[in-house]
Amino acid sequence: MKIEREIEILLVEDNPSDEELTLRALKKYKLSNDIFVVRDGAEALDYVFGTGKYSDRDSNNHPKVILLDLKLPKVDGLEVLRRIKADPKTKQIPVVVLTSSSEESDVVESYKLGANSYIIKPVDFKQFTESIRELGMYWLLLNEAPVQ
Amino acid sequence: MSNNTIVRQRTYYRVFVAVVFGLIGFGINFLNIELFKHPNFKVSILIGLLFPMIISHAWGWRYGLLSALAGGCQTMWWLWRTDGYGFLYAVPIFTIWVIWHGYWSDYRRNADRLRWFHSTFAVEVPFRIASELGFYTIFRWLVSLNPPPWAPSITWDYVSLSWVNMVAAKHIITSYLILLIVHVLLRIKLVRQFFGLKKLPSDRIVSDIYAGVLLTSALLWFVDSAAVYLFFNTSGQTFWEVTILNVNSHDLLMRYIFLFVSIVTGRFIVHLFTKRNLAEDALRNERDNLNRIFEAMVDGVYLVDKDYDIQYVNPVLVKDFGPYEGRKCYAYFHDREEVCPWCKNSEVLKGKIVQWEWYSAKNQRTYDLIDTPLRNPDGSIYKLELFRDITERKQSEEKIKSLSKFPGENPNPVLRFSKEGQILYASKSSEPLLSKWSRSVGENAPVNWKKDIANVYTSGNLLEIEKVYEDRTFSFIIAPIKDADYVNAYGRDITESKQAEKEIRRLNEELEQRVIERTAQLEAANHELESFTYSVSHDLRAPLRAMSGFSNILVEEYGEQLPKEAQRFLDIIEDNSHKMGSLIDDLLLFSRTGKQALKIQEINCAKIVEQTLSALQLEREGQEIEVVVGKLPACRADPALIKQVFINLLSNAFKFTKGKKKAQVEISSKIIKGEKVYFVKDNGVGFDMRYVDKIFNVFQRLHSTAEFEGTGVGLAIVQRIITRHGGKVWAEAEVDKGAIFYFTVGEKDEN
Repeated sequence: MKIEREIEILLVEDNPSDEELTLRALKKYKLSNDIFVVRDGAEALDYVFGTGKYSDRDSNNHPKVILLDLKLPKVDGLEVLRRIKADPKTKQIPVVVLTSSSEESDVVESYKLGANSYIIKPVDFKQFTESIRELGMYWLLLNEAPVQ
Repeated sequence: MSNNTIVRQRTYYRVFVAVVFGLIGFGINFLNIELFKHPNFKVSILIGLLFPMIISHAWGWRYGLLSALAGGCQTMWWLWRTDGYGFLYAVPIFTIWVIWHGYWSDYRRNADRLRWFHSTFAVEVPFRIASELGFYTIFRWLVSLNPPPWAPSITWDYVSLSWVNMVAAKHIITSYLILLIVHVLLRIKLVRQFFGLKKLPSDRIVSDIYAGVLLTSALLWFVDSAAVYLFFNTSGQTFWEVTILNVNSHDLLMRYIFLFVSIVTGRFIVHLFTKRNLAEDALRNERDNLNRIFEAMVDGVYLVDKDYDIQYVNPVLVKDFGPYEGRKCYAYFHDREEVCPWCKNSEVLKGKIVQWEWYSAKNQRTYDLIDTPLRNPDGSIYKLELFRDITERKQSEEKIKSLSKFPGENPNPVLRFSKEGQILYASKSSEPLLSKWSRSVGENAPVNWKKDIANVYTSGNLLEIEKVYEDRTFSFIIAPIKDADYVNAYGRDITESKQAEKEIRRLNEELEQRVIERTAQLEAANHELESFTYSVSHDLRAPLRAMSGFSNILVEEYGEQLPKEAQRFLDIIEDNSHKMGSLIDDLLLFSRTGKQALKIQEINCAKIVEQTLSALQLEREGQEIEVVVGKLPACRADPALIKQVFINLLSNAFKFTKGKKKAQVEISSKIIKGEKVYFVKDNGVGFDMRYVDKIFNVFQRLHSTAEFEGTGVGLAIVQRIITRHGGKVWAEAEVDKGAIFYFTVGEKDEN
């Protein structure tokens, strides 16, 4: 386990409750030290590509994993996914779609656009935290991240 | 046998017979039969001459000559040996005599008209005169030359006139006797048959007459003999001497005379008889012929006199109208009691020929009648009427007439054009067209038509063209006619149908437009629904998550600080948000099952059940359930939805058998009325059948949540899915005994 290194998660979530719950879960299992939260699709894109609000960020410094909600204001989650996966510079970044939607169309579309994983946020909190833990465990610890 | 052969055979027969007869005659003459002997007078008939003479009469002079030369006449030299050179006259003369009668026999046979002087007895006269004259002269001169070298003993060289007279008389008598005998013989049937001569009318009667005559004479001869023998027998002669051997001269003469007279009388009777018979026969023949003609006629014939009495009706009419004897024509044909008002009899009887048509109500036939006057030999006039049955002809005429009206009756234009485009015929309904063209029948069609007509005629193919006249559209079919030099054109006013076509097209376009609009509307509605469910799935869950999450966190973080009651409240909050989540999921599912398109395919139900059971493995952990999977045949349905059905039914079965000691769940199928019926059977708590109608309703539950969890949507979903497949779902249960849920997928078993 490479816990010595600082891990970076980009959480794209518009719902503050969900945001808090996710952070708590990640924190509970000590999976996050370095999490950045953006609250809409436009901000997400700005952050990833280092544009707009985050133009002073080094865009080559990619997060280890992006947790992406689909229902986002301004730019929709699928659009963000598409943009990220379309750009050769950013398409390597693992994107985990984390959403309430169990719509088949969303699943299909997400994978089509190149999502690495699709997780449905369970209503049950216990299950939710469990999902986050497993998610975190996998993507941050187990999964070999692409070389920057 | 060919004619030639028959003729040849006949010739051989005749030649043979002629020669034989000649020889017989030759032989018989040697017998020197004497008919009558008197010291001063003897009549010896030269019976031998009969033979060549009968040949001559039967078959003509050629055969007669042959027969004579064969010997019939040659015996003269022996018979008249005492005459010396005299026989040189006799032999040729007798030969010529035979030839003479042969010639006249031929003549009679071949002549058209016979007169009395053609008969045997008449033609004998000139010959007899000539021969006796020769006898007087040539014979006497020949005799004067005696004696001849072969008979030097003959001294008789002079013939006295009285002797010549007597002999001449004898000649006349004997020649006529011979002729009479020949004639009689040749009228007898058997004799005629022997000579192969055709039968004469009244042959038999004639034969009978002659036979009677000869028998009478024979009878008299014997009676006379008997009388002489019995009563006048002075010299004691025997019967036979009296009859033939030694008859006294007087008796002999009388008997001969009687015989001669009888024969002549017989001949006379025959003559009269034949004459009348001939006439009768001729008449009957004619009548028979006429009758045969009338009977054979197909047309009817009848004769009526001036008093309207029917004289004759031929069999054809008798067949239809009945017997005619003694009936009046107006009664017979028309069933009237008096003369018909239209009767033309008087006109005809005056000499006019009338022809007219008549329909007979009696036998429903139409006749063409021709009346002609018929003048009878006695001066009276009959009307001769000829009936020709023209019923069939009239019927076919009528048919033809009505058929010929057929094209004219067509309300659509029907025309006929010659191959050059000349209008040969136009139905009445073509008049508007013709007036548009300003042409009439007999003139040529317009130029563009002529081109089409010529095309059709040469190619032999039908041509369909559309023409617009005034404001009406016509479709014309120009049709070639096999083996004819004209074409027919059949027109049809299609203005209305063309308008109808236009209307239909317009409506179709409208319809399509409407369909597009509706589809758009439906799509929009669908879209709305989709986004709705999307919202539901996404947006409704988020707050729930927050509720559940934060109440959990509360418990986690501050649980110890909270009183038990507070904790319990938090649990309730947690519980309810959980429930809400399930409800949302179920509702989503429910809506999805209704909206999704059915993907009907052949599915392996057994496999689906297997998958379902393994998927539900988690749910029934801890439960001891005996699961029996029976026959699950394949069916045609949407696999995902049917899976959902099995999931719901099986999870229900597991749920409601919780707590049962020996839980049993059976999944199988059976055939009811030819349909595949699947079922899930459990021995769980079952339910009260009174409420069976309710269990498939949304949110309807028959048990409290405390007893069994659940949203009450599961069975509603099942019903919705099954209904969409066109199947049926129903349940049977008994409280505490268990329940069976049946369903079909809406296909009739085609086996």
